[in-house]
Amino acid sequence: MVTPEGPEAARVAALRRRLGAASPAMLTNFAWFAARRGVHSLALEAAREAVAHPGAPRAAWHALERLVTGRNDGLLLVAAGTGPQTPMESNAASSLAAAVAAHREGALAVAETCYRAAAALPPLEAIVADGLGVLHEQRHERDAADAAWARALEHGAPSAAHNHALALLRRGQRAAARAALEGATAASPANAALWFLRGYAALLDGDAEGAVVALERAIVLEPHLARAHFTLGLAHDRLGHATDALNATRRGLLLSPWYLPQVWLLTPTLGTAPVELPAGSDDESGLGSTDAVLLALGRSLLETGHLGESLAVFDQVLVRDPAQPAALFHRGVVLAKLRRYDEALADWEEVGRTDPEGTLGSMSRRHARSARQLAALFTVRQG
Amino acid sequence: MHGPLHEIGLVEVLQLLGRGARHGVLEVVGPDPTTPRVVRLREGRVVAVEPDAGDEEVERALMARHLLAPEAARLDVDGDVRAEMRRLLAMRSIATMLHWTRGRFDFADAGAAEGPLDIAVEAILLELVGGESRRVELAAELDDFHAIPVFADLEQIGAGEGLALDPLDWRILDAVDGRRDVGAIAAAVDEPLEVVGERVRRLEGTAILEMTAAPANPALAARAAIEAGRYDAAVGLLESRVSTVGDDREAWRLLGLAEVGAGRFDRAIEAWESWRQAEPALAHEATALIAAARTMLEALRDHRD
Repeated sequence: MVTPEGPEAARVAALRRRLGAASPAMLTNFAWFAARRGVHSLALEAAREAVAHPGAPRAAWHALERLVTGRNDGLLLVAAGTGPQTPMESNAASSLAAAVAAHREGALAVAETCYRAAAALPPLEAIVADGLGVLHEQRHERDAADAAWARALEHGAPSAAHNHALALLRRGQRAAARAALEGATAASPANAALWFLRGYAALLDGDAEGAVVALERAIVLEPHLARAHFTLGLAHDRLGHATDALNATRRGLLLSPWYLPQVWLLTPTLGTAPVELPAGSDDESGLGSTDAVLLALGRSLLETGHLGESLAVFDQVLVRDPAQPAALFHRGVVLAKLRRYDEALADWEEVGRTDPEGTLGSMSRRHARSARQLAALFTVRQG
Repeated sequence: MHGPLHEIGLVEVLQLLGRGARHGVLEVVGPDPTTPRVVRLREGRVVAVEPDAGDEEVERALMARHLLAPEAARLDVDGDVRAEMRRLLAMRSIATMLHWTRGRFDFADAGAAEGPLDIAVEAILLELVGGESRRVELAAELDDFHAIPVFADLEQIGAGEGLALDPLDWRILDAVDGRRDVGAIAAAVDEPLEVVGERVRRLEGTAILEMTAAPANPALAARAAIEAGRYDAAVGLLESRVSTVGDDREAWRLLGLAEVGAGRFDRAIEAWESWRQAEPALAHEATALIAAARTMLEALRDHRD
């Protein structure tokens, strides 16, 4: 046993020695006490010891989940009247909840331990396999992830098709992902998350029309699915439907300030709705970020003549990334329309410098020439 | 059935309802008219005490005792633990109501509705009396609950026999800081004084805690002096106390008492006015004593005239 230093730690350690081979409930309560006294290492050790017992109470898992993420607060005591919680069902169910909680906090080692404990209950096997699939994918253990998802799909885990298809998309296997999603939406036509992902995959694959169809279906099934509205805005933007893009993006913004198109779906309790775990986005399509949505929104506003709002949206993107070429280019356009030629010129020249070889760079140089002429005109008039 | 509590106490009311096996709702309004309590009875047994032992208060109490997580995805607690907590809150609420001498009660007959509790009135009264007796006994053992528990030496803690500690023991150990006395620990863990006193004695018996004597308390010494009829000595002790701890309510109360003992009613009135200011919750008692002292003062003055 680790013996931390200091009089308080020594006292807590002495109490632990006194408890000897304690029950899981006693170990959980000791973990609570040690954590309250700031002796984290002993608290963690006791919680680990508690969950290793077959009859570990839910509070032990709860303690472990918090302690392993460095937290000493919010631990629970095991009530005196509570008998040993040995029924496998409640134990496994609480392990699954603890697994998902740890998973969401990024404590993957704890999550894995808890998932494996939860797998003891057959009805949870599919959900556990799905969670492990996500976990392995996050660790880039693709074979293990695929094996887990194969089990999850075989046993009908509710979110396995979604998570597996998302993994394929993130690996760049767009065709495979789209094929999987077509099958999944046919099998579960009322699943909004699947229809959303099908639309998102289509958009990533350059099929904006297909995306619109799938995304509109997702929105009918789940009108508050913010990521579907945002992605629909992007799809309309791609198709040049400025007003539709504007409307969809505005609806998305009413529901959420963030565009998170890639989320893993984790099920913490049998029979309940899944919780979302943002997957982050490392794709190069430019469709995975809030800025992508803002750019689409700004362009739609520009197209529909809402210049002031459009300017504000591009400003917002440039606050985070001052050299974002598309935002600079379009802000230049807005400024020129507002006859603020000097400022437009500055934006376009900046694009010409930062993206000299790109389409935006050459367009910016052309625009800049015109702006210079106009600015000179104003200078002459003023003179 | 209704009436003021200064004419018929709640003990008698509950006994009558219990013996009559009545069904109905007893509303009790105490010193604070804005927070009435409702006791529901079925066949003369208490089946609900609201809001003090309602669902919301039970949840709050479980969270305060670290038995229930406050997060949205909370871990629930065993039904027995929840029931036990509800019973404890109900008993505490009834104990408080039994001491009310101001306010009123109204009982209305109603159907025999079930509730989350099922406690016989006689059991309530016996339990409360039992608790009171234990408190008196423990007060004598624990310097009127002013004794201060501290952790025993490391060797003693680690070397004894195996322990069986329950959540309350752990909470008490958590509250032990070498400064709090038993009374303060009971307040910190929000449990009855006698229960905490007994647990502290048990933890002392298992060599986890040791007791240190209560620090010199002028109020205790003054009380002894008053009981011995040494009123001037008591006044000296108490004046010294209130000059350094101006908000010691008990010291102000005793000072008034000692001054009355010494026949100085004008100074007793001054002391009790300070007591009334320091302890607004007992203002009515202080006011009554001040009125009595003033009557005595005027009577003596008239007599002298």
